[in-house]
Amino acid sequence: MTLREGSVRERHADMAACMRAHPWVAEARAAGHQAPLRVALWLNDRGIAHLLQHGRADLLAAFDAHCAANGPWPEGGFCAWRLFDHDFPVPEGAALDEEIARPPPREPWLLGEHATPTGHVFELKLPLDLALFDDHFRTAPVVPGVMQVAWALAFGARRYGPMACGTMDAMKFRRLVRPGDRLHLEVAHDAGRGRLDFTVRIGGTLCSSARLHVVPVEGDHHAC
Amino acid sequence: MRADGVLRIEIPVEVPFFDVDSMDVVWHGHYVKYLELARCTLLERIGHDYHQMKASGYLWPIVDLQLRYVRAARFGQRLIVRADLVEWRNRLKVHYRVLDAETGERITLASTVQVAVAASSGELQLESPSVFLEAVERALAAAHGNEGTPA
Repeated sequence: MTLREGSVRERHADMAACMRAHPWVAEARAAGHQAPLRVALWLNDRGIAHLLQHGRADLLAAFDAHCAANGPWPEGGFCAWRLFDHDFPVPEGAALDEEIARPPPREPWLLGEHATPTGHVFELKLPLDLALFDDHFRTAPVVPGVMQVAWALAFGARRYGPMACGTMDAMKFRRLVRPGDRLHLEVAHDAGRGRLDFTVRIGGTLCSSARLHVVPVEGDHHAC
Repeated sequence: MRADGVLRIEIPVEVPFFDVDSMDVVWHGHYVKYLELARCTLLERIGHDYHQMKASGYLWPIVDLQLRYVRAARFGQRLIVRADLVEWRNRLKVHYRVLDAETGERITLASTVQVAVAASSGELQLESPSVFLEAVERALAAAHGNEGTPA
């Protein structure tokens, strides 16, 4: 397929059709009036498997090669890619343009939350293109342990107020947390002892846990 | 195996007399200075040099340093010190190669890890400060032309 000159809408449609032809793509949409052309891809299982096994850079290189082989850019330029899976429904109209225009997210999506007898659970979804996967690691995207601690403090603060972490112990990392995972982050605050315990689970399997020694502070505070 | 980074700089270094020990080779501790020179250039390329770093309110102490000595460098030898930006979102990790400028032979391999610390309180930052992330994204956009998202 050759990407031809034409109206912006036609170019977007051509681009989306071009990318839908890729065997790792379930759905594709394009937006933007000037370079870079912004393209959102909904990966299928094969695409997600490639992302997990080889990393974002390799995946995008394959998409770049696919584009290069299937026609020149009308702008003669490159694409800014966004990656999604089936947990993120394809938005329509202005919502699509807004989503595609956003840079890759820096935080997990909050799907829901509920109290438990011992604490509070946040149900989180890790976007496929979470920004931290840019560098950790380039060829094997994994959430660094330090970010699991940061999320425990950040989401714990939503429930219990801002707090600073002085030390941490009983820290265990048992299973990798990767793009697309749905997490149950449970935090339990013991104000009297100055402790914030957290666990991260995927489908009931424990991924990580730690005990953070915290003190309340004013304002946002993620330092440890 | 030390991975290539998303940003790379190279600087020339000619081994000075005062870096050579009584065995006529560069004393092992002096290589750290060469890494520092390369890292300064890399930070300038990022647009977040040590002056800007200090002004931002965050310090970046070295918390890990690894060196592997492959061959000895000698007085007057012309070297290339290469620095690659490998990680930046939660820590600053840089990979280095010290090469002979003429032959390209590996002299030394190294890596450093730095973490951000609030200058006012000394508190470790679990995520790199936004001022640094934005500088890296601008540098990546300039280098790769894709809005800071390394391909």
